[in-house]
Amino acid sequence: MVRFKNRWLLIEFIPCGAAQPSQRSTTSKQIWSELRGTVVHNFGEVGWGAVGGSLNVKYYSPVTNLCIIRVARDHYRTAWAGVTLLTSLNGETCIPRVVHCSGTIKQAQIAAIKYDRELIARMKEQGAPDLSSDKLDTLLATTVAEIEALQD
Amino acid sequence: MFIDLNVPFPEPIVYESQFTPSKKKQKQKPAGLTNAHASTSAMAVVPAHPLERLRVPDRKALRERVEMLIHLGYTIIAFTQSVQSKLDPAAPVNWFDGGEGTVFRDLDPRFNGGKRGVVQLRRLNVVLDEASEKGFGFNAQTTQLLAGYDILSLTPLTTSTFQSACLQHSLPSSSTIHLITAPLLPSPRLPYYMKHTLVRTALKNGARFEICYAGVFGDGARNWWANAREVVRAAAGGRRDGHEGVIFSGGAGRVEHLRAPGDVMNLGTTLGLPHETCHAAISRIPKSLIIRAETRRTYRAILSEPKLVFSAVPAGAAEDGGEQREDGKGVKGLMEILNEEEERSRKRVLEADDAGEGQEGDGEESEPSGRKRRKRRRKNR
Repeated sequence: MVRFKNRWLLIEFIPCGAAQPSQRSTTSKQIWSELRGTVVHNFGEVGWGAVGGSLNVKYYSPVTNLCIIRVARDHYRTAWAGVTLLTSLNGETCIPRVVHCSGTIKQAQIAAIKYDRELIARMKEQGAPDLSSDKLDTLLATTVAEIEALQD
Repeated sequence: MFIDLNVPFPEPIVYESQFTPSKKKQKQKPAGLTNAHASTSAMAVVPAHPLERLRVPDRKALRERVEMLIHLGYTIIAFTQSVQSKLDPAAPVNWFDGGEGTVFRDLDPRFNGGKRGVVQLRRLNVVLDEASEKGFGFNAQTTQLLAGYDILSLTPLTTSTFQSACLQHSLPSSSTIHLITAPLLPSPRLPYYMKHTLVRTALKNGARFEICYAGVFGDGARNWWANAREVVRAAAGGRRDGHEGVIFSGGAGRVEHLRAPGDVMNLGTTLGLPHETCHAAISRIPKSLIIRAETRRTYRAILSEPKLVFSAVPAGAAEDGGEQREDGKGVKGLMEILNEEEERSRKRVLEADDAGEGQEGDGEESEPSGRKRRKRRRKNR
């Protein structure tokens, strides 16, 4: 017997267009249903059947727009293409970008924390209007803690 | 290094005086009245920089697009000027005139002193329909104009134009095309059959076939998938050229249709290409295509104008040499950038390796070389 193998995709949803802070907060459940929508639309019921059983949104942060999803290894490219073909999330246009793809959650966590640091450093540099640097520090601490708490 | 060879350039404002280029002025002396008219009116002055000829919202949107491309990790892009059916015989206009080889100077590492940015090239794309079957303006008169572009490409819409694109226009000359784009969106089938002999000739001459991914977001996505598969089958399915007849590029007129290189590669695998070919189709193949496109400035892609370089020169002459190099920014500047980028990515990989080992090898006593450590770890496993 071989154990069940997964792929962990770290996705960044880059917001574009009118850059207003979203009033409606997106949840991981909504991301899951949006993903189902694109996969069914582009790959049909067969595609969703191959992917849907194992597709799982493990983490999403509405502040940094980072997301970690898990899919079975056999058809992860279908799920990835579904992510790429997504054009809007919860009514807001965005560019989904797969930052990292790994076989274990450990590597996904490491990549997520690294990228999270970069993102928050960039926010600090650009001087986000409603976030002071203290707030950003606490934000970094909470997001890192959240990512580290993820379990298989 | 990732390359996007199709970033549509918005259409600039048309100025009256652009239609009376200096050459024509001397010929049309009798019509001097209109010329004088044009020069006296204030709005006849054409701004020198390509960006200033754009409408303000277009300019902003273009900059946003380029910045997003940088963020997504591209290193080289090519702005595309699209022309329908043929070059305007009276007064062809190069949209990039006056940009000195680039568009956003502050975002181009060739000019901004090696800061972060993206190399910006200029590309001309001619869409060939029935009206252009008798020639579309690539001739001796337009050589000067065509020399202002880094890459030329064609989008044939009919069988005969496809044939001439593959057979005649891919031959080495000063107006060689290096990219052939098939119309993927309008119909569920390509308007012509991509015959193997034609495709093979084009590939042998160094042309490549282009697939623009922005089509998947439009209305004709269904056609896009079918036609893109057909292009992949015809151009990257053969054994002779090692599956390398296809490149991926953007063609996205809006920011939200841009995608990161990794995602484009993954889309390529859903078209049935092996993943390493997909990687090459967005990095290595377009890179070699850009270098090959430089051969348009040589005689039949073989002979070039040699430049003498002296190793020891007095100070005054050295300045001269520097100026010359800026003049001939073509080959050298771009090649240097390409090599530097490669070197940098190699270094990055090495550093990442070292860092990774530093973390993992904490428990061990410090060993002189990383390679030894790696070997031992493998043994332990």
